[in-house]
Amino acid sequence: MTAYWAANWPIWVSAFCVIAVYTYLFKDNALYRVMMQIFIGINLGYQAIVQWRDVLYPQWWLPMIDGFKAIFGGPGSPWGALWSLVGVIGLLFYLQLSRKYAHLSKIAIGITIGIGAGLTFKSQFGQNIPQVLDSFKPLAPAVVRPVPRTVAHLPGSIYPPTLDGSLAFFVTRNQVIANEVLGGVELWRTTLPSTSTGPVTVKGDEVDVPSVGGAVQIDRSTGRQLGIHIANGPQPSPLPGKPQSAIAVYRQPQLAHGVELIPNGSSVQARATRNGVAEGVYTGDLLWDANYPEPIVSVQSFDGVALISGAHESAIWEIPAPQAKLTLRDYFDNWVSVITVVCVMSYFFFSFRRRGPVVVAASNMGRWLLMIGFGAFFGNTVMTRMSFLLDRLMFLIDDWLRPFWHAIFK
Amino acid sequence: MLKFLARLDVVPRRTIYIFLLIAAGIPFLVPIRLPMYIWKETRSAFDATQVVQPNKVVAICSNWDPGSQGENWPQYEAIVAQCMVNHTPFIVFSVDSDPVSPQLAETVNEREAKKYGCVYGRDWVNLGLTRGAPLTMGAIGRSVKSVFQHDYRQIPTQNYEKLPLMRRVRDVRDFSCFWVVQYQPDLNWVVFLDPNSRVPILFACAGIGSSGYYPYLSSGQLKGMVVGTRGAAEYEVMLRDKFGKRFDDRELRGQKLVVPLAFGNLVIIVFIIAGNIGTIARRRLEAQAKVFR
Amino acid sequence: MKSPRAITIGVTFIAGLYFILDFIVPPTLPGASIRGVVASTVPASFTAKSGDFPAIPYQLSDQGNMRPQILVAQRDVLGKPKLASTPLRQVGPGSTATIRLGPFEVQRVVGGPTDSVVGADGIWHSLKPGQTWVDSATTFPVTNAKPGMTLYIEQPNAKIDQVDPGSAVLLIGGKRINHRLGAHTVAIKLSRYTAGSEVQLDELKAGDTVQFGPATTFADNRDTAAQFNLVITTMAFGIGILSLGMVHSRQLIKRPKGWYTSIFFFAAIVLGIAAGLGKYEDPGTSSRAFSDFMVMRVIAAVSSAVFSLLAFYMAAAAYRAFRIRNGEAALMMGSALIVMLGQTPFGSYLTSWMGERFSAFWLPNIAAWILRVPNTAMFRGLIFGIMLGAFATALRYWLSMERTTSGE
Repeated sequence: MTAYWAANWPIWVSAFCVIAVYTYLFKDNALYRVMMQIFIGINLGYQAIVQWRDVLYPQWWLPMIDGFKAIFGGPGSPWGALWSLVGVIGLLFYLQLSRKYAHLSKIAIGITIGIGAGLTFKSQFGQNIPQVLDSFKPLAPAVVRPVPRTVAHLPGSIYPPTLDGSLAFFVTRNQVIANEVLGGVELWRTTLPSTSTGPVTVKGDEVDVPSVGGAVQIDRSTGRQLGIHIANGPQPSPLPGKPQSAIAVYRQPQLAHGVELIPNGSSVQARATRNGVAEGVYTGDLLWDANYPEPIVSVQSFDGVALISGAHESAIWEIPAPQAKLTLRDYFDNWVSVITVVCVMSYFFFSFRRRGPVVVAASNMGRWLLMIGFGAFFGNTVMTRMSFLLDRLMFLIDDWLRPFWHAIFK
Repeated sequence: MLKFLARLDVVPRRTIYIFLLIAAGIPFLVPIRLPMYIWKETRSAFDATQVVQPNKVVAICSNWDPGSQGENWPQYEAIVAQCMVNHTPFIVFSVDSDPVSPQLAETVNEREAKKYGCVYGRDWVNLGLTRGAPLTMGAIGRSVKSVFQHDYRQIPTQNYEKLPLMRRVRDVRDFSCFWVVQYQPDLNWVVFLDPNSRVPILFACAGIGSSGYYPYLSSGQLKGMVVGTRGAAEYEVMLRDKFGKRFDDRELRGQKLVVPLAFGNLVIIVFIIAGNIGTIARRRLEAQAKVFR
Repeated sequence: MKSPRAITIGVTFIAGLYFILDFIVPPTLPGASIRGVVASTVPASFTAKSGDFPAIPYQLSDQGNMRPQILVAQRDVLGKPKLASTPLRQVGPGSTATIRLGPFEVQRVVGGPTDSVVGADGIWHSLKPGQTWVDSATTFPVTNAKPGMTLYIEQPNAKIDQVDPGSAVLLIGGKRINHRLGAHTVAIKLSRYTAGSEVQLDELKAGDTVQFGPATTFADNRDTAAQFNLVITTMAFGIGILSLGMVHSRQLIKRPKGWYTSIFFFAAIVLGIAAGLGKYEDPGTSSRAFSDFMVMRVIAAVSSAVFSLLAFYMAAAAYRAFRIRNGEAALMMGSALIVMLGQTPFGSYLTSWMGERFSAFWLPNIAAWILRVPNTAMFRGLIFGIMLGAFATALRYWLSMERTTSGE
């Protein structure tokens, strides 16, 4: 038993505190009031030390002292001494307790309010603009399937272009062209001494282009030809004018590996590679398809766009996000959602008197719909309040009474 | 009969308290299991945490304190259990919370680590407490180590010998997903942490505030949500379904609390219905009394 | 003395203006910025002088671990001194900084006049006059270095002597333009779907789309602004203690009914201060144990218990308030009952007998639908109203149009 008390006396202290608070359920009493004052006092004393040690001391006092030391020749920046002014402003708060100088505290309060007002703009914008956009829900099936948008035109390439960071390298029969891929601006183009035989490979600051006479080495940044490297063994034969035979499937990393682009002749299809890439979309579903004006040499994707290249022209397409396949039930939900938003907003619109029957009806409907929301809110509130009670009950039963019972009777 | 029913209109409050205590307390003494229905938001949050990209970590902002431990404690336990059973590396920190928050989180971390053989510094790091939201949220997104120079145990976060996990944590792009476990998580995380909105943000919140977060789930700003004790219990069920015996649910509170919660809710519902029956009966009695006069 | 209304209005406006500008002003000054595709760059360079030693030149180019880091002394949020990496544009001639190169993993050590180590990259790394070897924590002579260690070269407390910010050749409208960077020029690398990020000149490669321009200082001072906000708001904490102290002091003097609780209040403050001081002691000490006891066993227990009282009040209030008087009350009550039951296992227990075909009518599914559709839409309507109200109220407070705060 002694061992029990030695180990468990703190639990008894906690249990006593909890039961002292619960006595209020039956009647307001002295024990409860004393316990509340003890709680408030301990909390205040504890928080005072913590606020000083964790906030004011490292973030105000020390920088201020460092600043004063720097003024008198110490290391660091003397601008830190300006924190002393912040201290003066902070002390203005305490003038609220003085009848004579209480008005000076409004300066400090004004600063706090100004900061809060300034921060409100950014946080409200960032939080709620997506809410405005999401309110526009589809109310009927879309007639037109999404299509990719061309954002830039690039040179053609008889081999798949090589992507390296912001640059793409295109190879024609006897030229190599470097274009940046954000706006399609050409950086350089260089004429090869012989016919090209394959795509560009990037090796650090230089790019290599295989050609009939050997691999031509070109400076990546300027396009200046650095030399020709002749490899041992037979050279690959040139393939002028013919697109590369392998038409591969490429993944779109921006969409978390959920979409693949499949070139087929002069068209490109986008299909889902996993369930749930958008609501109602399953693996293999066709998301969109689009035509290209000439046979496609290669399709590559990066950063939410696709680089489609043909022998004469290439293009960067912005890939549309997969659209949800909505069922009848989803359209019903969307109608309910839109009507609710409009009705609730009309209920809270107090800028001028509502006269029209439609507006009045919408406002009344809004009031009814608000009741559903408030009821749901209450349902969630019950769960939260009950959870706090259950946490304390669990403590009283499992941590306090059960071990005591075991200690006495077992 | 009507007179008896009319008395249901004026049940004393202490009677309600006693019934509530008994209904909520009995399941602690008599173990009862009930089937759980998994909500879509909880499943989304579970899936987002389960699919961890290579070389990325799960980041958890653990802002709960003794005042909110009723709901947040079981949620935090379940999330940490998922990370540890998967051996998914995670970092934990607190922003503008009660000073005891990192300590509460570490108690759970250490307890769960013993079950799954996880090692501090390799499988998880507790970065402690910082202040200055909402601007600190952006600072964390830009550079975690510039905000947290030391961890909770005062080890420098650039000491990769003791904290090898921190080698791969630079900024928000190294987060596979980002949890906020708090009574009412601050929506400014959605705005300030990742302006490009790539990292999935998940909330583990108390029920009372969850209604207000559903619009953000709908717009995609939040990718999942665990609501209250119910959410924590669902999470434990999903963990058991996924990992079977590998998942050790000893000392986890979610499923233990959800049954008393159900009984407590039932008591409130019964009294609400009883009160309405009482009101109807009283009105009928009054109407009868007027007729007889 | 008359109310300092003008001062209050002025400081409120300036405080809010800073954060509003931080939100709307781009990182470079509009109208003075230039945007183009990088063709080539000339890296930035600077010299740093320590004491009487000659100035050491450094070049900020992509040289791996020989790229210098400019570190400025600061304090972290806990007050511990730290060296924070700073871009060149934030230090100028006359600034004091620590210049660091490395890390180098030591393979061989040669002490004496050359003071050199060979790093894992196979290169001899030697010190110039004014530089020292450091590991992550201390400075020590190189004869203490051992193979396997990771070292840095540092030039501590160096004064920046000369700065050349570098230049870049940009492709703009088909023309190549040589743009010389200014001392405070920011380079923002643009990309398709992300907000532009600041980069250093040597991080730019040919083909990158970049915007150069004079830095607007808001992004640079964001941390200081946050610190200012935090310090100001924390300083107000003491008002609560003083105010309560004054109330309880009056109680002790005048001795109304229940005055003895004030004695407990003051005694508890002393205990709380002791607990707060003990929080920072090492684990295992008696003061730390006392602090942990007060926090976990008293504060935590009482605060949870106080919150849990709400469950009882809510049950009693729900019993009294949820009476069906009209259709709206009935709708609210019905919605509440469905959500309450749907959130617990009883909800699925009561309705799962319907089978999968009618799963739409299971209580949890109905509760989920209520929360996801009408509740979401209702909250959205509220959010829009609140957003407009928040903007209007924030504007009124910022412009001191509210009398309660503007000193009237």
